[in-house]
Amino acid sequence: MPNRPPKTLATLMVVLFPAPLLALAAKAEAIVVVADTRGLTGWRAWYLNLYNDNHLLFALLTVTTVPLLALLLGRITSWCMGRLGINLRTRQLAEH
Amino acid sequence: MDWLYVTMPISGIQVLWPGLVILGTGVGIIGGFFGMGGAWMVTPGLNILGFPMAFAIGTDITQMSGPSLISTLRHGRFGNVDYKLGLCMVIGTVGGFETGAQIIMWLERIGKIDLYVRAAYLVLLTLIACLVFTDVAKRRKKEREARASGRQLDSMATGIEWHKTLHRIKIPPVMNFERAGIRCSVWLPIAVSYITGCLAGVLGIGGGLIRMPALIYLVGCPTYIAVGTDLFEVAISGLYGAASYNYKGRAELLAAVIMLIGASIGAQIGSVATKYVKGYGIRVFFGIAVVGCGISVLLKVIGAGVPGLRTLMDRAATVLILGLVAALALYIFMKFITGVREERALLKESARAQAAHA
Repeated sequence: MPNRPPKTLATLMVVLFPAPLLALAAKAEAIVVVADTRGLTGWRAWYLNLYNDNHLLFALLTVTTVPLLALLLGRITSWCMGRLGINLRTRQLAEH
Repeated sequence: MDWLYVTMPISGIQVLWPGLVILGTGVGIIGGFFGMGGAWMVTPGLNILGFPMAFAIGTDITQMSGPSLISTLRHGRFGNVDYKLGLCMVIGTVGGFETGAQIIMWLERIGKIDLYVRAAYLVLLTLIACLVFTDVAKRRKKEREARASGRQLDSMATGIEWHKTLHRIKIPPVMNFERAGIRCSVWLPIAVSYITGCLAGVLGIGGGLIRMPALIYLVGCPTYIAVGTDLFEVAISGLYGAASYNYKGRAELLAAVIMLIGASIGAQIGSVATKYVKGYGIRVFFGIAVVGCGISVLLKVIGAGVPGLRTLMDRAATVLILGLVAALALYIFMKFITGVREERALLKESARAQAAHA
């Protein structure tokens, strides 16, 4: 019994205002994540503000950072691999 | 022990950073060896480390292009990458991804999308595993027959030879892919990558798991060229995926960077290890990885069908995937160590012989 009034109200709302309710449901699905910048300073604050303000610039930052860092780390690890004294130019095992 | 944990700036979760480095090393080794991005191994690993699923997928895709790029450069120096073939395939892959996305939207409209996708994934993995092991069995049979008739089997001989039939279809323009050693209609790699891209788009995976065997059995690439060329493609398509997930705000760059430290070492080890394992050896281990991946999907299907078993099955699938990753990475690492030791001993011996000769 105590559940009846809200259920009735919800049914009435759906019948009377279907479009706003459907729009609300769609918005609830698309959850927006906001990073907590309170008490942060320096690069951390800049980075999180960038995330909160502009996802496009944030995505651009990521797609440039990852390959550049990969190239740098790749060079370092490649140099280390070269110290092993093995042939890193050719592959002798020929098989399909 | 607080220093072992790092707070992820966006999601705010605390993550054990050595876990990220170990996971990165494992995926680097396996990816560099098999020629794939390894989304199927990293996502459950990140989830275990505490990432919510949406962030686990986004972070996984964000880091994917990094180790793939390092492995591509290493494989490129060995001459294992056919860049011309890779670029042709990027065209088909992008088109295929878009078609796959449209199919997913259509499936969403008719409902039961999860069931269809998981069933398709399972069928596909079973087919790939059957294909790989049939090929290996046929090639072994050829070896036995050659030995019985007192001759040696050509090192470039293969078990399954579908690519030879496909190469006979000469729809212009016909191109020479020198590094891969194949001459075929340019439409063959484009069509193959379109289909694999489409499947990857539908299944929501990077595609290396499908593209690697497709490059071998349909395009006709030698195994090590398939590995290198596929990594080249993963490096490009991974950047597209990273941009997409970061635009949606569901990725942790910090975690990707920490993983990259381990992955850069792992990618070198995995790529160099292909020097010491024959093409068919790589195919066998690839087949084992596919079987493991297939069993984990089957466990998830069972979990989805029987709600009471869901938690147990999900956990079993994750343990299986991570156990498989650890076992394969360890095996490849051991192959690398043995190979380096043997090569160094050989080089020392030949230097000594040269000195004695002089």
